[in-house]
Amino acid sequence: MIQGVPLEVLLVEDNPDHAEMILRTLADHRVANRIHHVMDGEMALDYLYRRGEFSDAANSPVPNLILLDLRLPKVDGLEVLKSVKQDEVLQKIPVVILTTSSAETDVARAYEHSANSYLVKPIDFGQFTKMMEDLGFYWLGWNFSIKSPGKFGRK
Amino acid sequence: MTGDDIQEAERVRAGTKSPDDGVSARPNLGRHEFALSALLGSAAALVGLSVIAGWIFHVRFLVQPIPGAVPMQFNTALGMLLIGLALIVAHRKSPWIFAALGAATALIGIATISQYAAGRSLGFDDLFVKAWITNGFTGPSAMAPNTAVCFLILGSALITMSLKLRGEKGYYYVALAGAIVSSLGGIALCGYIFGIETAYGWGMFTRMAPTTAFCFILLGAGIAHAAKIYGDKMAGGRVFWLASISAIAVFAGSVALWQALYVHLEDTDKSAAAIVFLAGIAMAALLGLAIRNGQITRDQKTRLALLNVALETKLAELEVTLEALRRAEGQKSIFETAKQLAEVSFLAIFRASPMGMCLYELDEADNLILIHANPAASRIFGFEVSHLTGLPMEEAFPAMKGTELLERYKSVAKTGEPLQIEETFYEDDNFAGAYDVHAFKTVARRMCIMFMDVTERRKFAVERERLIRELEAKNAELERFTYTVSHDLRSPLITIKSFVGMIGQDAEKGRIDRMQGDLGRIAAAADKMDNLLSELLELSRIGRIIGPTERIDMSALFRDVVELLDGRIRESDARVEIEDGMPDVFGDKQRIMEVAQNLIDNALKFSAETVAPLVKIGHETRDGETVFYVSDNGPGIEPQYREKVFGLFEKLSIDSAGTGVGLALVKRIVEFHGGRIWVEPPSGGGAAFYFTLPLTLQDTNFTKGTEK
Repeated sequence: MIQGVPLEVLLVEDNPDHAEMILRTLADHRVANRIHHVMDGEMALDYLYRRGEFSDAANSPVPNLILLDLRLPKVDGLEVLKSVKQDEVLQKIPVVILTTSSAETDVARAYEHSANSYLVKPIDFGQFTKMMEDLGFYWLGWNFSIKSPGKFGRK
Repeated sequence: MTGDDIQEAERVRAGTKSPDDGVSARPNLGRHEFALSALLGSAAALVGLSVIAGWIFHVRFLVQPIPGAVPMQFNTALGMLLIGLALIVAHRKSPWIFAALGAATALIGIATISQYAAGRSLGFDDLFVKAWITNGFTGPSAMAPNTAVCFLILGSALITMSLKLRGEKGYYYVALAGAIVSSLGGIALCGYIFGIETAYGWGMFTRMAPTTAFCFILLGAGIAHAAKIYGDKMAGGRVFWLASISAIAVFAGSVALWQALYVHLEDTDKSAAAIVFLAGIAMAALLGLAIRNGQITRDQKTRLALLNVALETKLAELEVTLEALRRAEGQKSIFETAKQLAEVSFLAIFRASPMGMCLYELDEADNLILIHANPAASRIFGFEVSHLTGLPMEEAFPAMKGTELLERYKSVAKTGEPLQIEETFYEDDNFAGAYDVHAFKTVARRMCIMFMDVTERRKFAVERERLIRELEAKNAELERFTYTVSHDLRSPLITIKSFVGMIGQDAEKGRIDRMQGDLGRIAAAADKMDNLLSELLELSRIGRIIGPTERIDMSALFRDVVELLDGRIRESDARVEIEDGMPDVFGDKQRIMEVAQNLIDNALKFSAETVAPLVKIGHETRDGETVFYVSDNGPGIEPQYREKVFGLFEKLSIDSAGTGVGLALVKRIVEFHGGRIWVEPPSGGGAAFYFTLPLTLQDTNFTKGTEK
């Protein structure tokens, strides 16, 4: 691929079916090296802040991209986004909202909290796979991101 | 009364003429007023002039018109001319002319008298013309001594006229002089007519000529008239000319009569002459007195008339004043009436006003003393406020003591700056009442506090606020609902379509292994969608469909529900305990059963991981309120999620079964009945759902529904 380093993706998705679909399409196109899937907002924050079961850094490498659903049990996707973008280190990670909601308020709120991209899951299978493919190429291929965010900004 | 009198009276009253005007200023007299004296003077002057002409031109007829009679002497004629001229120009009021003519005339008299005094002629008689007629008498002068005396009197009168006389006395003298001369002339003339020689001749001296006597009558009268006109003007008509002159004339007449009698009567009968003389004097005096009294009466009448005019004018003035006073009185009474009316109106307003009114006065000690309170004030306060009048505000209303409001009220009375506030009262932290209060200054150191009970209005406002908030909550819920519907219903659709697509791909590639699982996912997603739809339908019914309100035995209701869920309970291996004899509630039984069912179902789900699940159902009384509960012994719910659990499509765990509609439905039903629902951790761990429901029929409140 374009970048020769392993790419880490954090997938925050409560619907196991959707998670399966995303994992399969990304795997089919061999975009990411490793995808870390968490089922709710609380787990996502645990992962990012290396708390609880993710306290071991080996289990929770800093992701190059976060794929975030908005409606999540326990902690809402928007809360997770806010938390990430307010953190001096984590804010450098691109966050792509991947949700079923096309509500204007959701889109607005996501961008208000500095979401890097907002994608609506298409119902059509062909479109879904195409979007996953493009997403992989764009964010993990063409797009440059900081390799190890922890080195910068931390005081 | 004449117009002039009135004018004169008015001038005097108006003060335009000071009493001194007639004295200090030369009288303003017209030529016509001197017409008589000028006429008399002219006649005498004409006689004098003709005699002079006769003497100069030797015309005997002019000098001696009556043959044998004494001729008028040249000097006499000259005197007549001089005095006549003085009278002709009398209207000019020139003191120099009077003085010069008077002096010349007097000089003629004095020169003649001095000849008599000397006892011989001093040549004065022939000074101007040599006499060519002799009268047959011997003596020091050709002019008669009585004529000389008359000239002296008339000369002195003219000189007197020339002086600046103050008061009427000078003119009185002039008039008397005129009257005496006229009388002497008259006596002399009478002597000629009746043949009494002593009347025109004194002793052995020369006689007064008849023409001279005639001229003296004219001149004396002329002088008297001129003096009267002067004097009248100068003395305001208060001189009794007529009385005096008449008395003199009668006196002169009686003297002449006496002379006649005395001459003709025998010496023995001389007493008769004396009697006639005395009677004449008495008559003269009586006549003078009578005329004087008549004049006084007339004068008084005139004065009375003048006074009358003055009084009438004064009266008219008084009437005008009185009218003005009456009008003022009328206005005053109108003012009084208006004032009374205003007072009555004010009292009526004060008594009838629905607003409470308290009047206060700031006393010397800086206390606001209650002076008046209207019935509305008592009604609003709930006690008779008028009994508190005379008390300072802080004593009448002890709650006011030391408050900032009291100071603000005082400042209203001091500064006049009005105050408008809304006072709110609380009892045990609960809203008890609200008053709209206006305080304003009325007069110095006084203020009025007007207040209105706005408790109901405030309650309505609070209620309106509550309704608005509720409506906003409803709107938010609706928004959330549409949002979640669009989001959550898309989810299974995406799953179905995507896995159908994947199965297609797998079929092409001949990968059978995943197909079975994927088909299962599709079926599950379809089921989930069906569930969602039916529950959404159920949820949407709440608020639209509500059954009849009935009394519900809660213990029996829960027992029925547990029986209904018997299968699920066995499956969970859970134990359910229901308290007996729970209070009855009022509501839609079908809906309350749904509440019970969902809560038990929920409790079973929450305690699914627990070894011995226990669901407890019962009630307790908190602050006098009956609260029902359904508790479990599961892991419980963390504080931050306790509100979220009631949200539509909210699930705390992706592992838990259900769609996330159940608790939202429960909340809606409970709130629909006017109750509340919340989550608390029970003392023994786990989660407990508490809720309230109406315990009486009156408490049932379905206002939020659309019962159609």
